[in-house]
Amino acid sequence: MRPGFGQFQVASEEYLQFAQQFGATDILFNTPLIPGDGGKWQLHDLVKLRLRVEQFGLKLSALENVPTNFYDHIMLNGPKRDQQIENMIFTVRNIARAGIPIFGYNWMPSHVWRTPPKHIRGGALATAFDDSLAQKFPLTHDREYSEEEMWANLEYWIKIITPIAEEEGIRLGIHPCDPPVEKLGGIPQLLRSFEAYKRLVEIYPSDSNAIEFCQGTFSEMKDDIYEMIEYFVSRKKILYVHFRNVSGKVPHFWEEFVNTGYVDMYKAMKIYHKHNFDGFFIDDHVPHTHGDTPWGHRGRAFANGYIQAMIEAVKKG
Amino acid sequence: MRSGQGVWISTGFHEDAVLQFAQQFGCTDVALQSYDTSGIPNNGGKWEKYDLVKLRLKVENHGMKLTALENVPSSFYDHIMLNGPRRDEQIENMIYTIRNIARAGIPIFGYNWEPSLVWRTPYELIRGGSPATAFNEEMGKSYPLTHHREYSEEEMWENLEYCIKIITPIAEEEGIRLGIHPSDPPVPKLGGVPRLFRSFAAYKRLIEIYPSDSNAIEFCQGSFSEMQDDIYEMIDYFASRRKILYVHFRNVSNPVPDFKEEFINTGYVDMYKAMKIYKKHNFDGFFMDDHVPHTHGDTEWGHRGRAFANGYIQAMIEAVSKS
Repeated sequence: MRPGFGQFQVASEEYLQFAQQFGATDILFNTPLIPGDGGKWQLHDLVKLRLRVEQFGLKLSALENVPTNFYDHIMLNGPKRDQQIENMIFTVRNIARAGIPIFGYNWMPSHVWRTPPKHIRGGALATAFDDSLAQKFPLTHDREYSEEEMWANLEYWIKIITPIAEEEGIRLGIHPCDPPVEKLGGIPQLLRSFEAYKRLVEIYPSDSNAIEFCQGTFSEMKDDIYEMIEYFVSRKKILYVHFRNVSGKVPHFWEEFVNTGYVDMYKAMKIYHKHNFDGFFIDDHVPHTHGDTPWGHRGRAFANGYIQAMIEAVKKG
Repeated sequence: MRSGQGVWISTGFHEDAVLQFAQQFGCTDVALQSYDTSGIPNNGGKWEKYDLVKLRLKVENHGMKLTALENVPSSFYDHIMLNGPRRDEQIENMIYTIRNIARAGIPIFGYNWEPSLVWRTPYELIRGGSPATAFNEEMGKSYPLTHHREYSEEEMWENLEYCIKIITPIAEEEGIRLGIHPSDPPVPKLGGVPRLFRSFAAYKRLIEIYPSDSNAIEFCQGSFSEMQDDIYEMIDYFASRRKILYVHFRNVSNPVPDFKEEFINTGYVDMYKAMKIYKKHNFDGFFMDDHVPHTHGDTEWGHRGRAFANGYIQAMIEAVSKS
């Protein structure tokens, strides 16, 4: 169990030195800003990214997300599906061959949704979600999509990409749909429950068909968070963890500081440790505090200090 | 066991922004640290009650408690420490100031017995090129006299005992607890002045001068860790006797003669083991970062570094409380 920093898009000295000084061992980029001509990533760009991270004594352990237009036709069975699948195979192979062992992505054609933010402790600003507002959102794509067709699209993809990932020795994991409500903008939020994830891992049982475990989003689900951690970590399905906290579950919640949400983070950390989890933990994102940078250096330093102490405590406790 | 934040009071330092920072990052207690003479109006070597009440209300406006005032300017009591010609006048003034701190509703006053405060030699680079303060005793020995002559260990103890015997009954009467910070670095002498509070034995002697809840310790765990004694034994001894008022929870590379400061979780002290000892004795005070290594792009005060240390402290308190 190791502490990581992530959710930046560029390999700048500012971010990497910060991560190094504050004791991270693992780095994750979210949709890195590298050339994506023709809807795919080239090996040399990915290798350069990895070497840049290693210059700071850190390990590039995961890439999170490609641009949505790399695979939106795969998610929605659009006319460019076959072409996008070819391109994604090319990109996944290159990530693996560049020496990056994990690729996390999501199954949300319109990404994460939030309604207006909320003031939390001391006036810090936290993102929030209220489903009664969200259900008034317009269609985001051409029409309403059904649950069945979204599952069919996902299964088609998983059955093609998982053997490729196995061949390349890379592990793939899907982030939950955030917020985990049934549908937004006409599109089902497929991965919104314990049940959905059990179904996902059974589509193609493999170490390469796994989970980008955003504990924050799993905590927003109506299922029991400790039971879900236990179930998936004992099956070695958790690639890495977004270790953040929320006020409660759908239909209405807001984000919280890592130690002020409803989830008992010590109890959660003990479950990972019990199953000898060997991945890393990142803060994912943090409430905005007064005077902090847009990326949130102070807030992330706080969360990382918390994460490092929790890892230390459960190992020694 | 609670999480606290030290906040400087000094001209040009924006304490309101720092108080908001502390509140947002989950602190419940504040120790106001007077590092120079500019923060609180100095009325002839003493502080007035209304200025102190205003400070307390300022902290309470941010939803926290002003639990401790740390340090007065050295010029308020240097003649007490060194038995100078103005000793009696300074004692009268300190009695006045301590009564005012107590009556302003601030329950703890922490101070030190270092006429020349904390000493450090040049910075050393630690993880990722972070500059950390350091001390090298060879270099420290080359410093000139700071106070005209060499002082002896005996006379420094006499001066201390004289002060403790006078001030402790006053503190008891006012219901305020006083605690002394260790001499940092804890070496025998610097600039000709003995560093009295450099060992386990010295603190045992201090609390026996006048046994009282008001004669206690501002427990800078960092400085105690710089001593040659066993840090866990010292925490156990003083926490079990209720002598620890609050804790500077920071870490260092090793004990004297040469050491550097470290990140809270990279020093030689096992902070989880330390935290469990406080918990075992039902310690009811607060923990603060004190100071942190400087990281690239951080403010001079160290917002990022302090946020990190606070997150660590809060998790450690939570973990030992639940385990």
